[in-house]
Amino acid sequence: MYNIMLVDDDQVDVMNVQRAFKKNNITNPLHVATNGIEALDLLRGTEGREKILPLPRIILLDINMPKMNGIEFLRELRADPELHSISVFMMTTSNDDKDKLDAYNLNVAGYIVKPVSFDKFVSAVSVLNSYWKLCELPS
Amino acid sequence: MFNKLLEKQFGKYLGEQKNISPGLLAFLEAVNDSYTHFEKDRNILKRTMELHASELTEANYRLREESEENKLVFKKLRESLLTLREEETDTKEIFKHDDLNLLSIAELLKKESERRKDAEWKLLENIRQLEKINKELDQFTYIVSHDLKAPLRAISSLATFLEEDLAQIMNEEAKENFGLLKNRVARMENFINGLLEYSRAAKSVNTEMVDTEQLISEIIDLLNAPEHIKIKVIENLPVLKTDKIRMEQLFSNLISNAIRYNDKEEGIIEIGCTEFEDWCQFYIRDNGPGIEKQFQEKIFELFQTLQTKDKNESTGIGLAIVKKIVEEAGGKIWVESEKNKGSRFVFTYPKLKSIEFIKTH
Repeated sequence: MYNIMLVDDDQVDVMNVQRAFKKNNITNPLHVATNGIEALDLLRGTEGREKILPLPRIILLDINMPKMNGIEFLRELRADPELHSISVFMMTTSNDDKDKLDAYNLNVAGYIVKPVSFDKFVSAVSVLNSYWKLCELPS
Repeated sequence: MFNKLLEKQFGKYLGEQKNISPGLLAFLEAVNDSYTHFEKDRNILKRTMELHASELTEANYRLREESEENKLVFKKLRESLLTLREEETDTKEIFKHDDLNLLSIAELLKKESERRKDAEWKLLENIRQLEKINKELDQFTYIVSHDLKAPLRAISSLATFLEEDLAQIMNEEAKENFGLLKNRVARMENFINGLLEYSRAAKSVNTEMVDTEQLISEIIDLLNAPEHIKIKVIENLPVLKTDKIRMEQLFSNLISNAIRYNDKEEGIIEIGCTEFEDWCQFYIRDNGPGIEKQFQEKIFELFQTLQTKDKNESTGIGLAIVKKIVEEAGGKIWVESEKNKGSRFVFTYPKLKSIEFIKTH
């Protein structure tokens, strides 16, 4: 059961993901960071934070966050030899073409615009789950 | 040989030439020479005088012509100055006097051209300002719509969480209230999406060749109208140089309205176009409920709906988008309708000339 990381600063959005995981019977441990800097600290074990071990294979990433946004975090991640192969799925409210382009240029595995309705979000997570089950990830 | 006149005189006073002594002959020859010289000089002078006189006439003639021309120029200048500054009384005052010379006209023209240049610059500045404000307004709509969605999503999620967690202890009324709450959240989402679409209807134009017939058939496929509604497209719709996304927004709003509001057992929708030299006139006709005269302009305004929102989840943004797109392309839109007799939405759309097409690229 590999680790999954969620980087999102909105408490309700975090609850959304936790609930949607539960509804889809996704039992992987979910580690939450509220911005890019905190996420990097958790992945590297810096600034006194305990490093997540084993490293998560999947990161769910928001874009608009304080201190370090999702795109900036992605750039750091892709430049770090220990972290650059992690599969990242964008989960954001931004429907902006520039954000999409930036994200795909940094090799994200998917880009999902958060739906307003929770039911729609649950079915989106369900599709993601079956995709994760289908795909072979490096261990 | 002497000059004929001299010879006559000599003959008269001195007799036969052969009897004249060589000394006198030499003298006479000298007289003859100076006589001929004088004659020659006189001829030259005469010729010169003649030449000068003709040149003078010529010059005079030219001057007269030029003066006529100047008068004409002067007249034209006065006329144009008057039309240029019709509204300004001081110019009219100046022109009451006929003794205006070219210099003062030139001065006036110079002033006028400076004034025009200034006005033109101000106009350009105003246009730039307006464009900026428009852009900011669209940007504002986009940001507001976008940022409004985040808390809305939170409200929606929390309502769902509460509903799930309290399912065991809620009575019927509370359950119904949760239903209403979620419905209103959905309505607000529709509003925000509509506003987003409205702001997008103003964004940059990418012109390409759009086959409206093909576009409309794609839209009809996508709209997936219910069985009882028949949509007929009159063939030979034009190919236009235009923005495809806007064209799609335009037709999809009009056609989906015709489907949505149709109240007949057998709904009929017809789409057609008449082509003119510079523009096309499209129509979308339906046999729906019709629109009363008093509402026929109002329906194109933002947020205007004819039914209560509970009856039909309409935002009142669709037709405002349609109007915005048509008018920004330089066309016009109106509806021809009577209550209970169906409606015919008509809009004109300019055909982009090839030169303008090149210009916009």
